Amino acid sequence: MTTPQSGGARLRTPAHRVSRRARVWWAMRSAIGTLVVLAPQVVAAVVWPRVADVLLVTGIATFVVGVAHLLVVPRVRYARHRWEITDDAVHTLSGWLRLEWRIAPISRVQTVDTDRGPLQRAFGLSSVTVTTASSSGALTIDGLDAGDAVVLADRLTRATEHLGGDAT
Amino acid sequence: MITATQLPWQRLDRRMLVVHPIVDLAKLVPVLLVIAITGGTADDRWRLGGGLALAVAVMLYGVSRWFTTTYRIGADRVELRTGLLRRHHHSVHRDRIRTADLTANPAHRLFGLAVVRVGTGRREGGEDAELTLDAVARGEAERLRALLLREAVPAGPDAPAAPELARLRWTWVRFAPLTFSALAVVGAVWFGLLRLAEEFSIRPGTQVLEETAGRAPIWLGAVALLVTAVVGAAVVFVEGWWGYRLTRADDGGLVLRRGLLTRRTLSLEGRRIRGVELDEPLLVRLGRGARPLALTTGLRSDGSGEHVGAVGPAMPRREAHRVAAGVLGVGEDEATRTRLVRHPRAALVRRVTRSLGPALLVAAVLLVLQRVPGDFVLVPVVLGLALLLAVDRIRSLGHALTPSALVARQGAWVRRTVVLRRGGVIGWRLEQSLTQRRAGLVTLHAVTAAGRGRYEVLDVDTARALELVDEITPGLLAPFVIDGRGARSFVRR
Repeated sequence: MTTPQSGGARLRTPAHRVSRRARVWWAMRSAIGTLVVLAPQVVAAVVWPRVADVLLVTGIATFVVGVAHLLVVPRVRYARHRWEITDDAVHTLSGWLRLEWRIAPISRVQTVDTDRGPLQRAFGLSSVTVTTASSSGALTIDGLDAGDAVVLADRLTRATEHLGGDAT
Repeated sequence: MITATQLPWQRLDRRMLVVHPIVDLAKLVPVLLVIAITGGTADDRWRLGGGLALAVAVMLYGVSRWFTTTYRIGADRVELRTGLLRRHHHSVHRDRIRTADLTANPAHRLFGLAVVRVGTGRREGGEDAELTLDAVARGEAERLRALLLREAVPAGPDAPAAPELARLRWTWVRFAPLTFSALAVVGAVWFGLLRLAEEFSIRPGTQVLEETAGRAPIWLGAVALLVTAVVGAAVVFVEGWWGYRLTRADDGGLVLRRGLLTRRTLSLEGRRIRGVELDEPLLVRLGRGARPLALTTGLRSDGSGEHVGAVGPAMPRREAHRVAAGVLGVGEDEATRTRLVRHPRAALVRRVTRSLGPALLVAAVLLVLQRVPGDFVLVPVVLGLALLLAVDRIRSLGHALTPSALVARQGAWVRRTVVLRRGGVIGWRLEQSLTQRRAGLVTLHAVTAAGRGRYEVLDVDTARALELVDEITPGLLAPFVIDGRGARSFVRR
């Protein structure tokens, strides 16, 4: 066994960020998530006054964590999420503590989907999901501007449709 | 050319008129048993009548299936029509057919029939991706299989023997009790026995239990468990792998035949094979055995819980290496026996910290609690085992790039050696956690359409990972590569 030569290569980040409005969308999602956890606690505190003391503590904790999440996570996501489409492949970079770079070669792309949830629609956002023949080869770009997403999906679809084979 | 509309529709084999009701009734037995056994004394007539009505309905439905099911195999599509009340027309383009597998359960075999499963090899799409002819005569099934897979010669008893890659040796049965499924068998057998006893109201009173069980020495229980494990595993092995033969088909694919009661003929098309894997679960590895698997696209579980893609049972390691190499059609030292490259020192250190860390935590808890009397024995044992685990993981860890494939090996509980053909890689994932960043390592996942979907090269040097990507898919990352001497993160922020 030999130890490989250690070179100095590393990667620059993909060029594009997602839409600025994605931060608001992520913040809204975070707030809704916090509410979903908080509401039952409030209801329980009203219904069973005996456990109200405990619930006050957990409720405050939930609120603090929720607010922190709302303030930090959308910014970090916006700062970290990048994507780029080269002539050969679709690249996405995501993650905060754990970096994750996904690559799907254009020649292997099977489907290109755009997806708009009610919340995303409210902010004029859209997700683009690119799938390949692998069960774990999917790649999603969240929080794109809806117009950009359509253009992007269109471009990818056109890039892939003239390719033959079943891309496996 | 005959157009599809002119072809007559065919029915399944007439013998299915008998087989369908038998199989359906067999499935109904537990329900009928429950109906027969449970309940009080009142309304016995209703229960009897209800049970009979159910049985008759099921039999009628079974018979009706023969009348409502028709199929035809045209020049470019295979069509199947089923359903009594809800008609279902199913058609598969022949160009899309990737698999045509035969299975025959005991009822089918009794009547000389076999089920043909035609698959398009698509993962998604659920049952729409599959078309089942349940069932046709054995000879017809073999003919259809050869026809649909465009094999030159239907494999009959008189046909010239195809090149054989492996054949069952009865000495391999020794690995059966070492596999995990043996434990599952023990559990199932004991659970079944207890359920049965309960069902028939054989509930030994606690007194009796205490008298007998209390007197029986504990080793008797252990021996009973062990014997069931060994015997059960052997029985499962014999049922599953009786008549096991792995042969090479004309197109470079494989034909796998096995099974005692339920006979299975599985064909793996050559162009669907993306690689091989050699699995060595700890116990099997201690017995110097291994299990060969083929990584192919569009293979679903066959329902019997067997590992998808298994091309043989656990067998001696030497044999397994040979089978794996045979599946790929390369030499053994270019397949699972490739000389592997050692990973950076930091990767080895990580094996130790990741194994010893939790063990130290357990040891600390044990020492603080002071509840368990044998602490001074237990703590060194826990730490010792963790260290052994770490050493084993270090010994397993390695990867290599051969002219044709990417080879990666890791693991202690189950050591897996994966050989993935370069052409089978259809994407990448690079992952780097905070601690990996500090150590300058990344985990590289090669994404593929076969097997588990992606296979990882654990903890490689950042530059090496980029080198592997560039070797296998040239130019893919080129627009992104910059110089980053001395950098830890693989991405410049």
